[in-house]
Amino acid sequence: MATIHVDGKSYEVNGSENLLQACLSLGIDIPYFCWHPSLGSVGSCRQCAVTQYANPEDTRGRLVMSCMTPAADNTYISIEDNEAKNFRASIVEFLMTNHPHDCPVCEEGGHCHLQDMTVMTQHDRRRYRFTKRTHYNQELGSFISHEMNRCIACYRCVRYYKDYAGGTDFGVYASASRVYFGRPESGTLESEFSGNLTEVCPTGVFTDKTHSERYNRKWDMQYAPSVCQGCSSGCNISPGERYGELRRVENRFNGDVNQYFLCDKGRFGTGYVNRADRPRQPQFRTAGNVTTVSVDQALDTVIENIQAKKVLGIGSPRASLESNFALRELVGQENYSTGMSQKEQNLVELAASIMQTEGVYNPTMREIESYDAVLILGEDLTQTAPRMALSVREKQSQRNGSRAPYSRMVG
Amino acid sequence: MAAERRTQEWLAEPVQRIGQDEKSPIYILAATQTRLADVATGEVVASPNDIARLGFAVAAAVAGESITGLADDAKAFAQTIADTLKAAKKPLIISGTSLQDASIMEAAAQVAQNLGSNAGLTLTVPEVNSMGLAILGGQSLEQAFAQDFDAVIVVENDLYRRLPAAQVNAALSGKDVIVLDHSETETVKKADIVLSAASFAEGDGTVVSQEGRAQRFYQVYDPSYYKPELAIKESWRWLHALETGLKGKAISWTLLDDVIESVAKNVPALEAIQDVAPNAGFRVHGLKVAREPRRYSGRTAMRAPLSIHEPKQPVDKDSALTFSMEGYVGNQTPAALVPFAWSAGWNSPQAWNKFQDNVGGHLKGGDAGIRLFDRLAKRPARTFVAPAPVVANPESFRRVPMQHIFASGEFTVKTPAMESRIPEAMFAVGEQDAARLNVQDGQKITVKTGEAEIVLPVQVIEYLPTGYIGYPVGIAPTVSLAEPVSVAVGV
Repeated sequence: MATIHVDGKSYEVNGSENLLQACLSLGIDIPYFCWHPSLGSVGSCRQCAVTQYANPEDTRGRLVMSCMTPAADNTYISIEDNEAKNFRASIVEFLMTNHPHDCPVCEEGGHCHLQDMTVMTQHDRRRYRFTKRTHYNQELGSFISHEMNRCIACYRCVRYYKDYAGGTDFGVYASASRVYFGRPESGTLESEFSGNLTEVCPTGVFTDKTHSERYNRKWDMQYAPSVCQGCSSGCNISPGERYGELRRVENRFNGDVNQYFLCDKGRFGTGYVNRADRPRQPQFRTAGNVTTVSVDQALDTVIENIQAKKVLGIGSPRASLESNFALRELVGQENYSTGMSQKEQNLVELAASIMQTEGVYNPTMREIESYDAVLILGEDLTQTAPRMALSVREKQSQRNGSRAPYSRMVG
Repeated sequence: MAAERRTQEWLAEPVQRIGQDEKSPIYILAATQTRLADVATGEVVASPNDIARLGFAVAAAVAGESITGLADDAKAFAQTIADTLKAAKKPLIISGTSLQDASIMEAAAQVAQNLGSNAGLTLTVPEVNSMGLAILGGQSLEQAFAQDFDAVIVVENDLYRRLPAAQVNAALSGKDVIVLDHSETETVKKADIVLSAASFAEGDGTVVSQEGRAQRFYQVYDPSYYKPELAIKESWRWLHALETGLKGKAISWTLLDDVIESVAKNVPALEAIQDVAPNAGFRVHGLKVAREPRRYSGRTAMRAPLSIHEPKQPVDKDSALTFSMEGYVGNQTPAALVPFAWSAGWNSPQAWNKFQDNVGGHLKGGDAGIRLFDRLAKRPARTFVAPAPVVANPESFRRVPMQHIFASGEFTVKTPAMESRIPEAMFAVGEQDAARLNVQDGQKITVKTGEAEIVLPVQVIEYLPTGYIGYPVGIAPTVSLAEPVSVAVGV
């Protein structure tokens, strides 16, 4: 633990953190762009400047980037100091010189970190009256839209896509105010984790294309705490709805499981809920004819049809525990099936029994990142539990070296 | 490593520079080249049987026993992996069900047991609630179909993805078929009566993830608010209505909490699901939690085409959430009930800062979910035995399941945004076998099993064990992959 002094007040913080992290954890706001809890500090955006004093007697102090300064014991800083405030205001003003005035038509509007930080620094007048820098945009596939004019060059996208997620088809090109983030040429992003760009980007360069067609603001959607149904990983999601349609899925932070990131299957794979062909009312079906009936009629007919008959109940590993249990209550344990083939059931039961074995430790998805040697037996994780593959990769991506040796064994 | 150089772990660029030549070793034994190959220290492509035997060899080497029944290079490789795992402070073994081979998971368990208490083991399973059903228990499909029965109720399950079509058709023929589902599946098409079940977006429920974490998902919206004729209900509601009607019982489940209580009472292993999230009576400062942000607009006009009189908002009896902007919005919501990230002045996903005990750490009051395996009694450790080698027969081929992130999912293939990302169904064939069969990319081959003939084009890939054909799970017909098959070039 360390004691830091912020604008004359003393706080106990974790001394291994940087000042930005420490202050945010205390609930004190400092505007920032390039820092991200999962991507660390690079000090490129200069937005999180604060004044640091050598000791309590020092009255002049000097500007430091809070994300690059350790929260060491007895650090004296000021966020409210005028020099720091003016510096932060001018940084936002500089960033905004090239940022388009397109918030009303920008899909990031209303859940935009750049908007929030601009408001936080109280920047509300434009003095720059000249031509803005413009870029050509790329076509990045069916998931993500690209609008480079909005870029503020925080480098989060490339640090996430290349350094964190290990993607190889994305980079940063050119220099100075013309710096460009994208693929070498237009084309579908190859990474299975590309959707996180929409949340990592603090502004509207990368937005959710699947949401574009039927778009609405974040504040105009209804949400629920939810769990992704795409695989067995149990990532937490925040699906948004309007007018009876599921409009988009965003990550819902769970510090033990998915943290800040989802895979593209979870983020973009829920459109089936809106399909016109799904049954939304009870139906009678005879030889291809579908008749819609009322709830009472359906229930009465089912009851009539199964009265005094031997009824089998087939449950499902994609249905909730409650629904499976209700089926078991209805048909009786001796007539209830999990709905898995014998082979699948044997495998899943084996997995469950191994997990309950004395001496076997079963880590959370987050803990996976803390292991220092990994043996993967028989899984192409990116296909079967994608978020876990990202956890395995993250460990390694901090240390991207040359391509690994590749061996082959003939079975 | 960065710590040894007195560099803080949050300094992204220096940490990366310091670690550039040092890698945490990752060894992968798989049936084809995986997407993690670029970070692997060593990756071996082998048949499921060889993966299991190599896994057991690693376990033996970890325990200091001699390795038998493997070629010298494989022995040396197993020894290298074992030495690496033993040298690590925290070794992790990852395995799962995707190759449909139990001995692979047994090998993984044996390696983890032999490594001792600092080792971790994680196993992936096929679906969102597979682990929950393994704990709940029940018969397999084949066992159930072996009984005499007159009618069958199928709940949210497409049987044609579980068993070969002929087997499903035989089981369903002449029976009353009642299907509850939220999508137009092949099984729904076979139904006499379809009851419109809720998907995760229209219903509440509890699922158990591969780590044994029980978590609750909540209804996002009420479809009948927009279209009053719609009758989408959670399967458990339909089933309880049938049960009470059939048995002449009084309705005993009116809320989700009633069902959860029943599950907890009747299935002791699932008792903890009561603690997964606060119950429907929960309030923050006397308020339910709002599903809509405070600025939600247009509600009065939303239903104007139906009637200009705005009805009361739907009432959510099942949870502590409301279908409204009226209610609590803020960071005192328990983790399991946070619908979206928002805090005053923080509209972007960066707002999670305000919900965390420490930025980037965990949510205030603990992350959502209860790890069931931490609460269940432990079973004594077992010793698993390596499988016998499968003798390759040059005349016949075996199939190995090939999973694809988008194509293998039951519902991703029904999602419009995914259409351009679903590959064509193809048999994967290794280069050596392709040369031996004299087939090229795109050429069609016929695979004959006892039950069916399947014709698909060939995709020649660099790495696949000889004598094996990759079978595209999910986009090709469901077949048993156990038996050897014969292969003919052409249709």
